[in-house]
Amino acid sequence: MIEINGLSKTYKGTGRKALDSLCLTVNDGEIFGFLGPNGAGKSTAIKCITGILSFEEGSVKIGGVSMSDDPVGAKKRIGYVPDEHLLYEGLTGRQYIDFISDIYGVSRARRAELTDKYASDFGLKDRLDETISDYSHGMKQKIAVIAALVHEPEVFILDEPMLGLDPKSAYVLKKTMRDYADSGKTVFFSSHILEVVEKICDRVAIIDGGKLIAVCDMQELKEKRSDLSLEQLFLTLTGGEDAFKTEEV
Amino acid sequence: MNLAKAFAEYRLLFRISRLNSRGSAKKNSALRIGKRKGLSRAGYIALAIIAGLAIFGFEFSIAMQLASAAYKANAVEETLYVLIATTQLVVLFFGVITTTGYLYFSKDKTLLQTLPFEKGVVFAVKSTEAYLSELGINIAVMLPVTLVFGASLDISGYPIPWCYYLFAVLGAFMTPAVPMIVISLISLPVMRVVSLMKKRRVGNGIAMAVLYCLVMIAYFALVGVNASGDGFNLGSDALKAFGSVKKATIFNYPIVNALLGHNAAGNFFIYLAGIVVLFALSLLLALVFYNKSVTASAESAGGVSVRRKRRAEGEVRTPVKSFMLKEFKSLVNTPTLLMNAIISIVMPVLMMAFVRFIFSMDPESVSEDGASSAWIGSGMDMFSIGMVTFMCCIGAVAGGVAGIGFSLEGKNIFALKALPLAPRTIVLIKLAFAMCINVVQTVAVLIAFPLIMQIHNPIAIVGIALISLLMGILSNCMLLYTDLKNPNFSWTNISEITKNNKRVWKPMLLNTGFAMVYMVIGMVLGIVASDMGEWALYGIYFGSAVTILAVASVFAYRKLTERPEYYFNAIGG
Repeated sequence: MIEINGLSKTYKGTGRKALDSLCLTVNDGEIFGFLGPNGAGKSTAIKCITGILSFEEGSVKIGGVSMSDDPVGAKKRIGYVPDEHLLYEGLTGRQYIDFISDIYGVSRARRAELTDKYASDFGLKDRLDETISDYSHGMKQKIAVIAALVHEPEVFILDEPMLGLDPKSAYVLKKTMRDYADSGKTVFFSSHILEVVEKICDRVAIIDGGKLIAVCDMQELKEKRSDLSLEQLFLTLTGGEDAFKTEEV
Repeated sequence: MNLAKAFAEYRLLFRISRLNSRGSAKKNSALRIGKRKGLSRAGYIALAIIAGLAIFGFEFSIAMQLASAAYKANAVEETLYVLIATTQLVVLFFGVITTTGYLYFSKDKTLLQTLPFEKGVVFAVKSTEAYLSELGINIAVMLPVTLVFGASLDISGYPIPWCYYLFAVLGAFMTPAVPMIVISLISLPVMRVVSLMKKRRVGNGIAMAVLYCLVMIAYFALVGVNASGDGFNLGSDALKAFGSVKKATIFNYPIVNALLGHNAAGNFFIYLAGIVVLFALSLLLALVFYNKSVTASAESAGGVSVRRKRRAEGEVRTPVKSFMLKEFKSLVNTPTLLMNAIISIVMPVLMMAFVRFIFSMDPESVSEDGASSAWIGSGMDMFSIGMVTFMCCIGAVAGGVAGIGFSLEGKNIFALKALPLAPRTIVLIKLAFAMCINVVQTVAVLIAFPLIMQIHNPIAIVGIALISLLMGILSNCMLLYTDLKNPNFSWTNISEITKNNKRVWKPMLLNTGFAMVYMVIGMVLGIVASDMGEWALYGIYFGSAVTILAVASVFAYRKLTERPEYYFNAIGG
């Protein structure tokens, strides 16, 4: 579970408020989509949630553990796939997964089992012993996903995870996310691909200018407003309604 | 904090960092364009061996002379303090870039921030890496000198205990820890203050440059104090200075006494315990400052500065102008590089002030040693010009922009390759940008030289400026060519690009060689040809230096521009 309460973040360089009193709760067992136009504050929010950035106001709790009070405890509950590849590229894929497993204290047997499972799912099994610097963009993305999942985190956070993945791998990742949420864990991800978000998310939040402007239940949206797609809703809420109207005409 | 757990994490992260560096180096070596083979490689190795032997020969001779002088003056203990302090200052001198690079500007800092490491683990690992990268220089400088110093004393009849050699070896591993910890201790609050600044990247660069200059001034001041005595005879001034060094570096008391066999084991362990305590202190400070500084540095992602001056409507920059601007922004946003650039401009000026200070201290004592009165005039000027030439040449290489011109691009090199710009244009822009720093340096030299050195002869003023400028062209062409041929994209911090990169050493060694030769020529001319007259002396000295550098610069420029397309297109396979 992720609990964000009154989270505000101002960049010192510009004085610009990147996040303004953000409040959000992401429950166990759900896939939560985090949407917003470019520069809306999505990446800043994710960086605050994962402990990369500090923040001046509010609180972030991961599985009930405060990121400000106990960053180590909170980070232990997170598996994070960043939008850029933060990997030790001089290591082989297996060495990198072993490193992450060691940090999170995953037993030898369990890490072997999970590495084998995910590497097979993502078609990376035969390439695990190659140096990461030799991997393609998609392969690096896959190794980042495996490393994030190998310690079975309570909260699985992904920033633009579909970028660079081939259709099969994208499908496997979506399925993995679904299975993960169904096992009672939390999946939180940001994306610009609204079709994917619409298809797999239980709930969606839309952020713009650092402020939360909507949280909607996808099931409710489908039931109550079957005429409104997520794309239309997004464009209306984020000031892209002109484009939306043009399309309608 | 769970200490056992923290230690386990420390071992794990350290092992992985090493593994990653080795993997990157292996990959880099495999990617090299035009590997050296056969005779060329053998020649290069032979040159390195000869250079190494020359350096060790120089060290041995200094150590032997020092031992003899210290024995005669009954100042063995004080001399040992000076030896250890000097090597520590050398580490301090070079360690500022390394330590801050590892601690604050590593590429893996964001990855490490997302991982649940116990507090202080990342700081401890990064400190260890910085220490290890400086250990080599300490062993190369300190170990031969202390061993030869001890052996020479032994042969002279001074009672050197057997444990001297044992603790000399162990001490070589321990002594660099002190300056490295001092750097990290100072850098912690400095970087925290910088992280609160608006333009923190520029602030980082400037703070590091100031830190570096302070260290350099302290170093030169110490050397200057020592040089004020009468050489290797250790006269009263020198002994007084050695005594001051002993007092100033009293923290080395246990290791010096261990070396001399006074309660050897006890003192050795006291020294070891002192280092541990010092490290624990920096670790405690790191618990408060380090994470905040590193976290704050990640904020740059959201920083968009307000433009002071808007461009006129419809105004378009030329690609060359835009590219130059991009190079400038890369420099300003890369603190280590900015610091190098600032230092390369400031260093020759500082060196002039130092040389001037030394030569104006006690001219009478020089003439008493048998030199003619003429030597004090143009002869002494030649002597100091030789030293200033050396620093101008070293300063021309120190900017560091050209040496990592392409490596610094990292993965952006592929974006660069996709730009509709000819490789030749890109190479020339990079050269022009590197030259901008050298031009600023040359202007600084041109202004400072007559003011500080009080030498107003036009040949000397123009000559020293030309040396600075031509050495800049030569160095930048050679370094850019080397980097274009074999760029290194698998680095985690800037120091790694050059420090662990043997390819950059060759042009640097050649430049240093030229600088040393001309320093010696200046000094020799100052002694043997002082009665020749100012104009003739300066004419010979600067005429020959400028001619050699001009020819070499033309050659280096032609080499760089011969086939840049081939090397540029070969990057990335």
